[in-house]
Amino acid sequence: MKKTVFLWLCCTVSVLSAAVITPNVKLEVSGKKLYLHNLMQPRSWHKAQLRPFMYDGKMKKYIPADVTVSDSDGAVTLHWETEQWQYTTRFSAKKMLILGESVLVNKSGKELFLEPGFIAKADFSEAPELFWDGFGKMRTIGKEPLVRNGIKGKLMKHIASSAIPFAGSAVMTGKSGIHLGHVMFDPVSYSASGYDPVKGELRFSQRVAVHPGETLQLRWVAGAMDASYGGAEAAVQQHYDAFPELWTVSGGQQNPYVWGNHAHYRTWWITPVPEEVRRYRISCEWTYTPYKRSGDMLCRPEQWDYRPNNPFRKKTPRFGGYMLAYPGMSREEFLQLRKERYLKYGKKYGWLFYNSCSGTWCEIQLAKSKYPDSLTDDTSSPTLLKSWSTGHDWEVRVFPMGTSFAADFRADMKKLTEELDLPGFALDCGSGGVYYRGPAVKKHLPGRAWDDEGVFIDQSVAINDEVDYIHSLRPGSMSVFINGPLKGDLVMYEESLVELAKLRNLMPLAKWHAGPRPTVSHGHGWEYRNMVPDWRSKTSEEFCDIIGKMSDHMIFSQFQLGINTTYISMSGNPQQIYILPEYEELKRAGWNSLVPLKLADTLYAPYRGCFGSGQNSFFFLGNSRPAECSGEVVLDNELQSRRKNTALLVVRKLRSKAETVNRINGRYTAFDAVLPSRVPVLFETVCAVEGAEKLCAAVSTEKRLDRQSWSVELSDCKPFAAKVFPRDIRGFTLTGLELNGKKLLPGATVTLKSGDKLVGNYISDTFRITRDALHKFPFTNADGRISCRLHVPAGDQGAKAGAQRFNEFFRYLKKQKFLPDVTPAPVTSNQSSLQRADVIAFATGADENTISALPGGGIMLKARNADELEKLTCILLDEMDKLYPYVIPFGPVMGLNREMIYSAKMQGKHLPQRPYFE
Amino acid sequence: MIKRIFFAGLGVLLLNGCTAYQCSMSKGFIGPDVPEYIFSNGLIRIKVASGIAGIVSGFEYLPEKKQLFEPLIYKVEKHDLLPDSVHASVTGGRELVWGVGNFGNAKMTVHRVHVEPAKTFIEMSTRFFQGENIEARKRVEIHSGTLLVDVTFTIVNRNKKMQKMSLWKHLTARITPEKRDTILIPARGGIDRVAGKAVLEMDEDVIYHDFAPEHQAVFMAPLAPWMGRCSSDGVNRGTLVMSCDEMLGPEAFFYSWKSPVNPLHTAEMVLPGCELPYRGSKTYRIRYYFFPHLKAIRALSGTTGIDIEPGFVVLENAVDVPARSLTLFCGKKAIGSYRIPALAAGEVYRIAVDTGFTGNDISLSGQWDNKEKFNLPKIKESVKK
Repeated sequence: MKKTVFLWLCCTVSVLSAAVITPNVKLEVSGKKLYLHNLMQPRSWHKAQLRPFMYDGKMKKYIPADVTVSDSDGAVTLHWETEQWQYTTRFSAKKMLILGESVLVNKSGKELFLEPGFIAKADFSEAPELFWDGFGKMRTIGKEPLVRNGIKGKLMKHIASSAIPFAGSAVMTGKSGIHLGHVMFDPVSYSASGYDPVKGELRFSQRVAVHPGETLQLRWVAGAMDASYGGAEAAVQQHYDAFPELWTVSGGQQNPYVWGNHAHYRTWWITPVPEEVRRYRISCEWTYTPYKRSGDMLCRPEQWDYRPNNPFRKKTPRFGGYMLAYPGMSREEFLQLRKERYLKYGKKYGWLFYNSCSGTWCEIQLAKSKYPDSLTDDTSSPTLLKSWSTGHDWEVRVFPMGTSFAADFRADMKKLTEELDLPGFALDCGSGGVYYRGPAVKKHLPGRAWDDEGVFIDQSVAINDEVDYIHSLRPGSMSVFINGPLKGDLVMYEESLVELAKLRNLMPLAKWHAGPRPTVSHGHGWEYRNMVPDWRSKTSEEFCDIIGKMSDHMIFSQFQLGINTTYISMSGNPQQIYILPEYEELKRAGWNSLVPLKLADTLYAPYRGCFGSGQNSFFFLGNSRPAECSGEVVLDNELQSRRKNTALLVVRKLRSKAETVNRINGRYTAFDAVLPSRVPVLFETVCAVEGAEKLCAAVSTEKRLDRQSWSVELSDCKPFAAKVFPRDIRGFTLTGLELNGKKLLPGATVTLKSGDKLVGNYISDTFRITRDALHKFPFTNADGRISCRLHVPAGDQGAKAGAQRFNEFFRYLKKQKFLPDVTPAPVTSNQSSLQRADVIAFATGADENTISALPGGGIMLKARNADELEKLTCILLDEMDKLYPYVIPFGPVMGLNREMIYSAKMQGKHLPQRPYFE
Repeated sequence: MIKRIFFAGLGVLLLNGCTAYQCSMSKGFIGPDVPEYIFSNGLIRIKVASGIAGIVSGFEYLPEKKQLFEPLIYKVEKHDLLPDSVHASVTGGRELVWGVGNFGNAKMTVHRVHVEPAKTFIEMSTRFFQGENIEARKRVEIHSGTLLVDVTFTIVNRNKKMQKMSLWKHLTARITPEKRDTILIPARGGIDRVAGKAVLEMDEDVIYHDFAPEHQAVFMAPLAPWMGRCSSDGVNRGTLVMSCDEMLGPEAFFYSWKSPVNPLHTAEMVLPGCELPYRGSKTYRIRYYFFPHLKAIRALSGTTGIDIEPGFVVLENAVDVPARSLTLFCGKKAIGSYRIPALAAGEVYRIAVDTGFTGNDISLSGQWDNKEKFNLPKIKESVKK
């Protein structure tokens, strides 16, 4: 009861003395000053004075602070006014963060160059050791001030622009820290951070150029973080939790393109093979490049015929395997081809239209003659590339917001979306750290900042604005695939996961920017030539050993970083396909930067990951050594459940049955883990129990095709008042939560004690048939020939397509010589066939999408429409893969060529599969 | 008796006179099983890391104890699941294949090390050069009392089909510690593309002084078959030159790259592509010269480096040369004939000329008494874009 009252008080803004309170930090006014109080770990630092500052870039001086801080009407506000400007900031709670929303008004008749910011001075009981400036590596605090001025980081050659920092900055000890920043993806062209160890001051600021009479809005964040599992990681996680809308993909979980695997040109360079697309779980494609002239996606007639600076390439595959050569091809032919192919394959395979490097590169003659106002001449990054996106063009950098180029570029995207019925766009070079200073900076555009050379806008502001524009073309239905640290729905990491030097260089910053959004690797897979320079001398056994270990590293990295691999490392390697169902589930729950696990010294798990939150959490541990290890794992419930006094109950994540004993002690859940060598060990939560303090719980799960359940048996605990929150399971619906056999409502208050048993039951949304019944169905006879028939209602074209898709499965297996010469399953519309035990029936027009058993023993697939029936058919085929375990063998791919495969005598072969999740 | 004393004395004299310029060799290891051979000829000491692709990994000018290469840093990082990461710092001279990734770390097998007072050499080979089905054989040789390293590199096609490849000669050095060198590139004017590749176009033939950081990567069409590097401060002396006669073939180009974060500045020659049938071979002769007293060069004539300083044409030799004559020209007009005495390796000779003939924007030419000619083009310094 006391705790409930306390929590209520903590979680609301107090009316009596206005303060802004989150579970771990409080902002209040005291003696006309602002203070942050550390509610999480007050022994590390108790409070920090938070004071604003303003630097005038034209007068080149700090404006003496004359700030009014008030805490009336239940709000904390800050007000500062001079003759020239008025600056008001209102503070509120945003999950774990304090959010400051500022309004800056230029009252003067001239443009102002201002740099507002905040300084936090915390009373650390021990001197902080580390400063985080927003980039990926921590900096050790010595005697000198540490600063980061501006957002330009290291040049990233593959996207021809620099790294940019995360929107935060912090100072920390090993236990606790304080952080300041702005809201991620806000239009900020210049930010600065610093820590002065002598003064003990952390500072963060943004620069703005404000037109006369203009009103600007700026946002700030401040917070305290537990640094025990990584201070920057904790600060980043607070950003994710506080602003989920920034990290949610367009269309959410229903987005059909971003949650699977990226095709990596497999549907662009060749005619798409439906069975390959299914087996590799391909859901989108990076269509590089679907136009002739860089900067002219529409292919305007007056711009079609020109002489590029480099020769045209010989025929190259595009548009699903068409061998394209521009010389001799008329504009009309090209446009017709493009339209035909996009209408045929675009939405089906998620062909995201590559849009001229996010509109930041344009063919040089076109840019200089038609869009001279748009040129970006910041030489800190390349401004001219002599062979870039098209290969035949020299391209110069242009600015895609507010310029003449931007106007055409955006209009073109709109027209193309309509003409080609596009599922979305692919934005290459989607980064910042490049300043535009052209004529458009005089306009009223977001992100105007200043330096000694005058006003500029960073490229990142323009691209984020462009992403918003793309999403607005068809709200909820346009996907953006971005190669860079900016907004978008699917993020590309353009390196292979085996390139360790690049991984270390680019991580964790690249992944912090990607956040909970799905992320894919677009490198050259095995990079076998680089990784094994003496590959010609390797035997088959050595090849399998090397590739097998590299594959395990990829899988471990996938679960650690939430970055997909693609088909180029999956062919010949069944393990990478085997793990996909688990990986997709974790990916959809949302990757976390913070992994609040402590491992016993006996556990060796250099790879670890965390997804989701609360009762929908997943954890990963990877032991990369040859020997198995075991020991205790301790989960910090407060950090993972994001609330106090709530224990998470954890079980090993397996496909059939699992059991794990949990020991709850205050804030922590402890459980024992055995980590076999080179096996990704996954754990999932089954429920959250609020009110649990000290108890033991035997947690178990049982999973079938058509239903799942979990149970928790309590012991070693005194009776306590609790609320139970069961987990969600994608593709399943909770049918009931029970306590000792009696129904219990989720979240209802109940008394729990030793001996109690909680059970959660779920049924599949899709499968209304058992695995046993499905596996006994006579798809083929003993000779491997098809022995079933298909039923399609007369006139149901969607059902007919579903049946054809089903037959594609066997056609493919026949082509791979896995099955003998098979004729397709016969299709009938005869109603009486529905009584047979060997019939598979397809139908559209249903209320829901299900696979169920027919009374006669056959199988029924019913879906709402043709598209969903095809997806449903693929779900059936995924299950049938267990009966027909064809493994795609090694084949020549980027990073592993034919010669390498033949040298190791691995043509037609594959690595063994290890079913470690069964 | 007197004769014996005389001859003994002569022997002692000869021995003493020769001791400073006798060749020697020693062997070290820069990592477990990664040998490095150290050769000295009295004037220079070089290192050859046979365990790392036979890189010439060290070059020291002994009279000044001047190291011209950054030390080779080699380490092997072991991983649980990935192949070992072998890190060798970018330094020294190595051979690669253009278009194939930089794998300058594969071992070469040493077949022979020869040491005698007059010369010393090492012969190595690798069966799969740069991971390709090409055998490569390398010989590195120095002679006593010279400032010259001779590298002979032979490739043999072991593919059953025709193989086309371009040898890529890569040299990274540092004349002045902790500062970026100027790379001297003899560039042919009026060319904007070589083998389909865009190159930095010059209006006329020049020696291009590449140092400005704005041009991170520079590609140029070759005017002469050498590249040099010198201090960029215009004060410190010492010029290192790399040459290969093949550089005047079609499709060859020079390449230079600067690191944006440290003084690393490479000098690279991409040699013309050659097509080799099965078991066909091609041999390249590459030489490194060091001219310790030249601030730069404008020409490499035989083993002589030639530069122009205010009021002087300056010569220095990498080997001992006998006396000879030289005529200098400005355009077609002879500006003087000169008798050059015999010069030892590293001995500099200055020819006084009218200062009107010694600016950066003046080109001269010369002809030796054996009719061999050379050109001293204008200098073009890299500027901001």
